[in-house]
Order: sequence, then structure tokens, then C-alpha cells
Amino acid sequence: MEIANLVVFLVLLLVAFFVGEWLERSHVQSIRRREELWQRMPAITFRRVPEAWNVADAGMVMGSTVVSVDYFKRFLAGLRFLVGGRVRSYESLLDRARREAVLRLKKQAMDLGYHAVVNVRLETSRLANGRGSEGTAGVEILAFGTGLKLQQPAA
Amino acid sequence: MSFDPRLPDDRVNVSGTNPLAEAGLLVGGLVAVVVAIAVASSLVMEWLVPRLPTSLEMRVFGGGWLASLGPDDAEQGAPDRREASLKALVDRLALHWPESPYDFKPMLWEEESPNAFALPGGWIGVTTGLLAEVDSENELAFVLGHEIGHFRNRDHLKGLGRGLALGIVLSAVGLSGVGAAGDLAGLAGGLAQRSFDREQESDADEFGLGVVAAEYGHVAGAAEFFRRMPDPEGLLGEKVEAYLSTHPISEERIQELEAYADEQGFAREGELSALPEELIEADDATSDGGED
Repeated sequence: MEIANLVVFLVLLLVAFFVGEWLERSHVQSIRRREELWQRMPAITFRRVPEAWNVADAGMVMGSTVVSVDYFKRFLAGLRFLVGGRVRSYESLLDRARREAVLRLKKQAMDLGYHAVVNVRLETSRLANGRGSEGTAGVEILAFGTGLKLQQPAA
Repeated sequence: MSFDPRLPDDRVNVSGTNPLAEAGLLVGGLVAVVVAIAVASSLVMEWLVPRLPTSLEMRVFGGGWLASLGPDDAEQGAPDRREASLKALVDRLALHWPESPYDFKPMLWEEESPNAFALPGGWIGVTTGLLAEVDSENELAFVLGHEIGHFRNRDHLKGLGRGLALGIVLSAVGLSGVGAAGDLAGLAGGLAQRSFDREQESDADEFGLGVVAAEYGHVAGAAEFFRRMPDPEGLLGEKVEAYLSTHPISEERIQELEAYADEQGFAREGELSALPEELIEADDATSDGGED
């Protein structure tokens, strides 16, 4: 029943699309809200502590997210692999993952009483899915840096 | 140094195009490319196949290539009484095409659904389901005549070439992991090749009808066989599937047959000849095994 398969596929695809869009929109809203909330917490890529800062304590902080693609995004990317070009369907996914990782890093730094994070780095690694090279279970985005406690908070 | 808080830019790294539109564009493009290749390969085959000498076809396909291709056929090795009987009938019918360069080799396939195929090298595949379905020698003769018509027009090679070209393209698409989009493209490609199939089928029908008329003096039984076959009514899916099957049976096809018979002045009524004994046995064997 080729026709029935196609119909099932189309329904799955549309469900995946609408559910995925809805989840993505609410996640982006949540990210924006927290970015605004925590924007006064510096998380910067400087390797050195700015000279004006009087550091009392330092320690590593990190934030990590693991994301995987949904049915629709994978389908769209599969088509894209045929002709090349920007794999747009993954862009929003990875953008959210990066920002979420940085937000988590900030959250951890604040929870530990740090006033700022310097030398922030982002790393990505692919998770295998146990089926060899076929597909991927997802990627991890890790944000890490050095949390600093300042005697006088940065102004 | 002062810290001036800023929100991250959330537009630069995301293209923000409509994913549904992108999917539509890509699927549409894929389907268009596959359809174009399907049509182009069909046209190439229409041009190329008539230029291939039959001797080349016999050299390549005349041997036992079917056996290695493997329709599950236990009685492949030993000469089968039913196949011998079919061969006798086919040879009798082929006399009405005196220029035939083929030595036809009918081959019985253990398969419930009634069907017959013209395959390169003079092979005619006949399913046991077909033997179970036919009521008279005339009906069987029409089906076999139809297949001989395919050989005359060399449709079997055209079909093979078309199918191969489409298959290669679809495997390439399938390997890139687009899942059901590949199926969709395959369906569209198949549909694009339908018009070529349709024309072949009606040409072969006309040839088969001519053979039956020449052999028996009338064409009774030819269209009746189709009439008894289940009419694809009801679900849309079934209709579409009937449309996609190798030998679609439609009211239209029957009417075309009858119109052609009248046009050629073939007698529509006449006495039906009984099936040869051996083939009736085959009939019983299949219905015993085939039902419940």
C-alpha cells in the first residue's frame, strides 16, 4: 500500500512540523525572557581578567544542552543534502541550543555566587546513537568559563 | 572598563525562512527532476530499442537468466507438463506472426494473482493464478497473444530500460535518506511513465485480439476474461493502485477492445475451445493450495 504509506508519512510530517514549531516558539520566548532577566550578569570571552576587577575567588562554571532533530527537520535536511546549500532547518535548533547553554552557564555562576564569567567557550560534540554512523542521537552544546567573585562587583 | 549589558542578536544565525515553503520547494524540485528523467529515459528507449537487433537480445537474455533471477520455481529444472502445453499453445499462436525472430519460452510462476509478463529473450512468464482464472483456451490465447504483441513491439525491452533508468535515479535519491519523499518521487516517476505503458498495453491488446481472431475465427472470450476480473471500484486507494498495476483492467480497456474488434470485422461470438487437460490440472492444484 504505497498510497497509505504516503498518507501516513504526510500526516506524521505535518504533526511533527506543527508540534515542533510550537515547542520552538515557546522555547525562544523562554530564552528571550531569561536573557533579559540575566543580562546584567557578564559572560564574556576575554581570556584575561580586566585589570580594574578585584577578584576574590574563581572557579569553573558550565552549562550544557543536548538537542536532537525532529522528524520534520530531519526530512527537510535530508532533502537539502541532495542539492546542497544552507541547512536552514537546523539553524534555529542549534541557535536555541547555544543560547540555552550560555543561559545555564550564567545560572550556575549566579547560583554559586559569582559576579561574572570570563573566558567563556562553546563546544559541540556529536552523540552516537548506537547504530554506527547511521544518523545521530543528537549534539551536546557545552558552554564553560571561569566564574569570578569580585570584591567590588563590575560596574 | 564598564560593562554595558546587551541582549544577544537572535536573527543573524537563523535564516527565518518558512520551513514548509522550503520543504514544498525541495519536494517539488525532486519530483520534477525524477519525472523529467522518467520521461526522458522513456523517450530514449522508444528511440533506441527498435534499433537493437533481436540477435543481440537473444545472446544476452536467451539463456537461463530468469532462473538465476529466481522466481521461486521448484519445477524449473525438469520439463513441466503444463509448460510444455503452454509452449504448444504459444507456438501455435506465434504462427500468426510469421516474421517472429523469437523462440518463445513460456514459464510458469507459482503466484496467486493472475498475470503474465513478456521478458527479454522470448520468455513469457505466466502465473498459476492466471491458469486458475481462465475458463477457456480462447481467454488464455488472448493473454498470450497480448504478450506476443509486446514482443512484436519490443515493449519488454523498453519497459526494462525505463524501469532501470528510474530505478537508478530512485536508488540515488533513496540513498540520501529522504525517506518517503523518495517514495513520492518514485510514484510520480511511475505515473509519468504510465502513458507509455498505456499505449503499449492497448497496442498489445489489439495484436492479441488479431491473433485470437486469426486462430479461432472469432474473438469470443477475449474481453469476457477482463469482465470477470474484479473491477476496481470503491476506495480511492484501490483505484489508484489499479491504475498503477502492470495490467490495469478498466471498463475503458474492454470498450476499446470491443470497438477494435468491430472495426476489424472480427466476429464477437463463437464457440469457445476447452483448455488443454494439463492446464486444467494446474488450475485445480492452485485452487487447492490457494484457498484458505
